[in-house]
Amino acid sequence: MSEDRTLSLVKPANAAVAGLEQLLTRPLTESDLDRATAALAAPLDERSRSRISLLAMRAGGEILAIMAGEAAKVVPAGTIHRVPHRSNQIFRGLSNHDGELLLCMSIEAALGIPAPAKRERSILVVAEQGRERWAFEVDSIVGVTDVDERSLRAPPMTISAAKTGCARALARIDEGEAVVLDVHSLFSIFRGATS
Amino acid sequence: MSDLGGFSMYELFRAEVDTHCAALSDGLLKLESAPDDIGIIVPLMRAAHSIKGAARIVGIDAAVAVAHHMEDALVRIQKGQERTTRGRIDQLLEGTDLLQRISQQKESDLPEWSTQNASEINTLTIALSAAPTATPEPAAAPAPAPAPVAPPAPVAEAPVAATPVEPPAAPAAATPVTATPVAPETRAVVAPPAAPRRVDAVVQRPIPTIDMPAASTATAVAAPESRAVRVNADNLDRMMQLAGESMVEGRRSPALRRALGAVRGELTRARESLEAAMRRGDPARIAIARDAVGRAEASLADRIFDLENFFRRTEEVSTALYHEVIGSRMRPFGEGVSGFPRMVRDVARQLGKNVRFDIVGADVPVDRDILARLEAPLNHIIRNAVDHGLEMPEERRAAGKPEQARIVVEARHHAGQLMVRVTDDGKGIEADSIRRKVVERGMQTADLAARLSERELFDFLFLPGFSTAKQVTEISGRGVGLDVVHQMVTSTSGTVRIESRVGTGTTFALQLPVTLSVLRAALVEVAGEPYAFPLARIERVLRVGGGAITVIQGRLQCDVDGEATGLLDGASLFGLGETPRDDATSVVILGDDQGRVGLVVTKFLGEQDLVVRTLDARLGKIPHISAAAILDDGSPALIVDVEDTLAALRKQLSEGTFIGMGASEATNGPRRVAKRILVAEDSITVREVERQLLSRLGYDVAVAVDGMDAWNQIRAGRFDMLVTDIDMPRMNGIELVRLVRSDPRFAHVPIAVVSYKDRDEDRRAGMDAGANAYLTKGSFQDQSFIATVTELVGAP
Repeated sequence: MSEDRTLSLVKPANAAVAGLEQLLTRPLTESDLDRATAALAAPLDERSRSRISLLAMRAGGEILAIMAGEAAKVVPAGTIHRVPHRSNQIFRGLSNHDGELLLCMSIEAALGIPAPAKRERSILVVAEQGRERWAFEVDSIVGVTDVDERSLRAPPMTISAAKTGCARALARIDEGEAVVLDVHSLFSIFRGATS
Repeated sequence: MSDLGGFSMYELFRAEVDTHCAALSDGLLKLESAPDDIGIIVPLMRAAHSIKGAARIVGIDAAVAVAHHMEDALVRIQKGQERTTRGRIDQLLEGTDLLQRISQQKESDLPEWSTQNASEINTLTIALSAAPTATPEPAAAPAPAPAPVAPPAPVAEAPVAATPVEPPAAPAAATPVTATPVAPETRAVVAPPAAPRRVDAVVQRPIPTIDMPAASTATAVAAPESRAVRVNADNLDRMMQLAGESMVEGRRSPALRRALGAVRGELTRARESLEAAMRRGDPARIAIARDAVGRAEASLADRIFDLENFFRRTEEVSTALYHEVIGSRMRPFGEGVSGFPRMVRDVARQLGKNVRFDIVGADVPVDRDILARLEAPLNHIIRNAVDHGLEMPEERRAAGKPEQARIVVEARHHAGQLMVRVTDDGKGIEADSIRRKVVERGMQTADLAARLSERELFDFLFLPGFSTAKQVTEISGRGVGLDVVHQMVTSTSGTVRIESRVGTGTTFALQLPVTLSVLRAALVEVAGEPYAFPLARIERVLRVGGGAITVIQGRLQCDVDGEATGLLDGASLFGLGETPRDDATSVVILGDDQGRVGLVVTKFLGEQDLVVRTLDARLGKIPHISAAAILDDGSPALIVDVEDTLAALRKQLSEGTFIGMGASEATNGPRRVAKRILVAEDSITVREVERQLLSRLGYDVAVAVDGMDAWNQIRAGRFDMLVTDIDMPRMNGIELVRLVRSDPRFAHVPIAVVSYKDRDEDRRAGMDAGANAYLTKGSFQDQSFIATVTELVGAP
């Protein structure tokens, strides 16, 4: 086959890898590459059918996920400075990343799930909707994974009807059941915690 | 039009006209005061010539004609063919204004604008070509009678009269101006002929659309407005150089990594050779292997040297880049006030006054946004000073003052704030005349007005419609100016204060934040986290030994310069627990004219220059904190709002909601059963009147000194009602009412606005914001204040 065709296949793969690296702000692991390869290797008709990308992460002993498009970046958590008369269980404080002072939240406290007393090594996920950005700490990043939207299941009523219930759906991924969060509702809780 | 580097030629023309017109205006005023100083003229000729050249490039014939005739007139003065007269200076200044107006037109509107203003342009060019009028000084020389108005015609043919539009390679070009080469330090972003010295680049985001030549004249769509900022061209160049250098340095890191990897391999191999040689016990091989180890170690030393160089360079480049970026936000104060000498001259002449105008601190760097907002308030204040503040020359003579009055505008940085003072040596303001007017207008009773301090009385001048000027003139005195000043200053969270002495003069003191300025701060640790105190806002820092701290009424205090100073725990103040006690206690001494306190912190971390970063608006005003900064290690620090802290402390201490350190066992005061009302009012007298009125009825009254203070208290405590003034520093009453109403927690709290503002639109603004009642301060006299409060909140 011609060289052009080879290039045309390689370029998007490289772009996807670079994009993923940029989002996760770290070199990709074997597992990341396997996922990306599998997604790219899937037949086109399957890929185009109702696939959605999720950024999955571990926090509070659970797997949580947000739509990959709602994740602005994933960065190692730096020092978090408490804010007098504002910091609370949900609003942890300010953290600098690339000169931007991020408002750091506790996702566990926001969702009402148990939080570790102290994290060994925490990671900040910066979620974005429109021009609004919030950062929250998680234990680790599972990765970016594609799922068929039709396979998503509704969360149980005990979660969906709860005040702190930000679950949009449940998604089955390789690592287990992930709770896909409704970022809009999550942001409402964050806003309430800082006002 | 062509586009170079993202800027249309017209935008460059506009920038060039701005620069040269400022130089013309300034130089012409100097020439007026020193008419025989021919040295002043050459730069003026060059400025006019440059504008002419630039205007020709963009095809604006009106500007070509005006600039050409200005240049001709200047050449005649320079050659001694005519004398400098005030009349001629007037015409030249008029020409400068006209050029400025031309450059401010939208490019698409220019042909029509030129046609509409053809007669004005013609009149001026004729006047500039004519011999100077012999009007005796100092009376203003009126412009020559307008020539018969030329029929509207394209301005290319406009300068009909005495001197035709300069042909290409005009004879006038023989003057030294045209011969002057472009100075080597000229920083032209593009290089139109005769580029100005040190052109400021216009940085525009996003890249503006290019205006295409009249391809679609029927439906010309205006380019979208985008935010443009002026950045000094040298500054921009340096930023670009440093950004490039930073990238180059960054690219060196893979090579360094590879070189270090190679050294590691070399060392491994040398170690293996040495081990093998030692196993064999072969001295020759051992010697060779040892040499190899030595070489590998030398390579490692070289690579470490390279690495150190790399780190040093990276640090140097990033530090330099950081300083350039910070510097790019700053503009010299003089740039924002460059138009005032001209304005003062014109207004003074119009009024027949003799005024000297000085600017002190023209080089003081000011945040560009603050500078832009300053212009209008300063304009009002200076106009007022010339019109009402300064006496006529004969009055000054009679009062034993120099005939020439003086206005000084002074800028300086103090305590992390920009302080601007406008001082005149005029007649001053009579506090009693304000007092009389306050009573006449029913704004206060005579009894209360008599108790108002001079400072409080002067604050009335900032109310809309409140003017003591006997005459309303075209220049000022309509009673709106100072209101605008107040609004604009407070909108930047600044303050404005009047100081005046009858017969001596008046000073308007503006204090404005320098939001993105660099701040020298004392860094301390409180509850394990860094906090910064603006160095200029603290008295000192101390390490106090345990023995020097004593207890008075259960509260800790220490001696500072012989003064008993109460101690407060920083961590408790910030709501972050308690500071652990040590053998020696670290104390930051804060103080103002009302007293001082010592804030106990965990330890001192040192001094550092910090770039002030505004806090995320979602956090609102944080008690005791003004801003944030990022430290050298990348961690955030919070900057303490010393003024806010002192004000809040005083109040909390007086209310018993916060107590001195060491008295933690004390109670938080009696249980409150009475209805609690918060009074927000910046005038201490009015605040006290309201507090006493309500307290006498049995309400539990807390007071706030401004809107911000009130908002902090509302969020921190429980209140059954809010009574607020409108005009307050930091946050005005309207903003406060809106904030309270927008928060579901306080939406039910009744609010009464009590203000001196009694116009319908003021009432509407208050009620629209969400107030339940709007009263004037006259309501204290007729019981309507008490009736309204009782109606809204019920009995105490």
